[in-house]
Amino acid sequence: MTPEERLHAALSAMTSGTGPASDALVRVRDRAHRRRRAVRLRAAGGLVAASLLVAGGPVALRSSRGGRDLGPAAPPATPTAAPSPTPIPTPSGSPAASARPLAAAPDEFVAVTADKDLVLVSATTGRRTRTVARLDTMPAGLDLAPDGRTVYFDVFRPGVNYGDRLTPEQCPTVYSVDLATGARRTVARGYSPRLSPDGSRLAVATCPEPGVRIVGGRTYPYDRAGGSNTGSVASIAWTSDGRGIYVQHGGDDTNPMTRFDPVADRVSGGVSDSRDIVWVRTMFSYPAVPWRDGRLLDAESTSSQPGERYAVSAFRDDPGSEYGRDYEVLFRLPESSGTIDEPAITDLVVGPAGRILVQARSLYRWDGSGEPVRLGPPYALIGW
Amino acid sequence: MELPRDDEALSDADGALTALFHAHYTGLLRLATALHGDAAAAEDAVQDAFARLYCRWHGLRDPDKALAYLRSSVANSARSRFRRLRVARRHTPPHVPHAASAEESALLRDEHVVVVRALRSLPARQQEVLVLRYFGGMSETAIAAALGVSAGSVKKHASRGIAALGRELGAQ
Repeated sequence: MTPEERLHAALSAMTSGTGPASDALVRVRDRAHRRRRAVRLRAAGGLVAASLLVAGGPVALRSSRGGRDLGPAAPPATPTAAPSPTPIPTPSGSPAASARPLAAAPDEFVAVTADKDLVLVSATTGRRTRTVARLDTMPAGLDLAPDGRTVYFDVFRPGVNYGDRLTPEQCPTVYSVDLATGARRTVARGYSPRLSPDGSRLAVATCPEPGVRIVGGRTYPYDRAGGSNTGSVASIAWTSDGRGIYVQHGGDDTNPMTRFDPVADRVSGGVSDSRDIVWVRTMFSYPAVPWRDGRLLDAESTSSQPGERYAVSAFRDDPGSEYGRDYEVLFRLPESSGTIDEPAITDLVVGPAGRILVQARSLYRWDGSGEPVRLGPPYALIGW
Repeated sequence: MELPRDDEALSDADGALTALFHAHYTGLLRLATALHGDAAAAEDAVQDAFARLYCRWHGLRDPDKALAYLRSSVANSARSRFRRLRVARRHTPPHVPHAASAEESALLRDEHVVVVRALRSLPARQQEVLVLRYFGGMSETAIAAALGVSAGSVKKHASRGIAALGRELGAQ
């Protein structure tokens, strides 16, 4: 027999007993339905961060599975005024700090090059305007303060993988760099730093226990409920009003997204046994970030077909909205990955006036209408 | 901007999905099993392919190409699965080659076990091309379209793959 014939015979024998499970069609329909399913986040979730910050002491936001602690009692349904924000420490006392501050212009975003240079880039021309610092390792998370004066980023130890369940020794560190002085300082243990929209609070992913911590404030751990996810945090995003936090989990193809929501006493998401966090097991691609007008953005990071043009879509963050029906494709990139092996959209950030930066094979800016504008080659990481 | 699909389109998709399922699910599952070497991963890949097709049914220009879409999705599912995690985490998770369980091995004749092991020792792309070509019965053109590579590249991988497989089998 030829190798071809032997291969055919072996694979035929290997798969001869393979057949669909009795409920395969039901599962296919269910999976298709889940892809289209609503992003049923309760409107009450808008009070999240405010209520989280009102109560004192660490609170475990845990699944009701197993009858564990469900956190604080639900506060009154009436909106609560946001408390005074926890100020983020800033460098003080240095001569440069009192000098005229050097900040990123509203048009500029921060980026990390493949050479680990931390740079400012014009969102108009795509040209680098300034090199801020040279980093020792490539960060996994990066954010620029709204006032354009401080950059926050994380540093993982070599060999430690973003998305893994981390040991205490592997827990990364979040640093800040002052754009006026170039001074770097340690901010917190954790990773994926994300500033609230007003820049007054910084949220970081915690480790070794997965969760979210407000720097200078409280920690909100969560369980590993939700299927095969490892419990590690893939990304953090504040809601547009700064009162809630979205968390996307790593270690699962579907990147299930949680919205911290201790106010709502019942689930409107996909997993029905969690009372105090909203699980939305949609097929979100990475990342999903708040945009404007109560809408979230969803960027396609994968494809099953070569040559697809990748889309950035918006969907409503409303109860009853349905993923697959109630979304709209804002724009498609004018290029495809070409092959299945290349990454699609690897990063997406929202800047002033709701403008969007998208990274794929190139870096693009979208100003709210029309086609996206190509700015140049992509960076390793961007923040705006 | 794209408009949401309407109920009529969804109803069409449901009917088409059911027909495609009955006609091709088992064949695709066997193809996925041959590609993945793992029954659970294969089932997951095929179901995901159907679900993706269902959600994109309204955008499918030629419904007759639905099977090609499904094959392409299944063929690319293994790498797509790893790439999805890689993009999300910005790191490459270690690839753990599938090791057949004792039960699986017991069901296969020794000859078949040897061939499958030899196949798994080849580079991923060569494995894919050989499985699609000599088990899936797909043409070089169809494989090229499914994998997003040129027909010449398929020919090269097939040629090198079968030569390497022959050497591997000859050495055992």
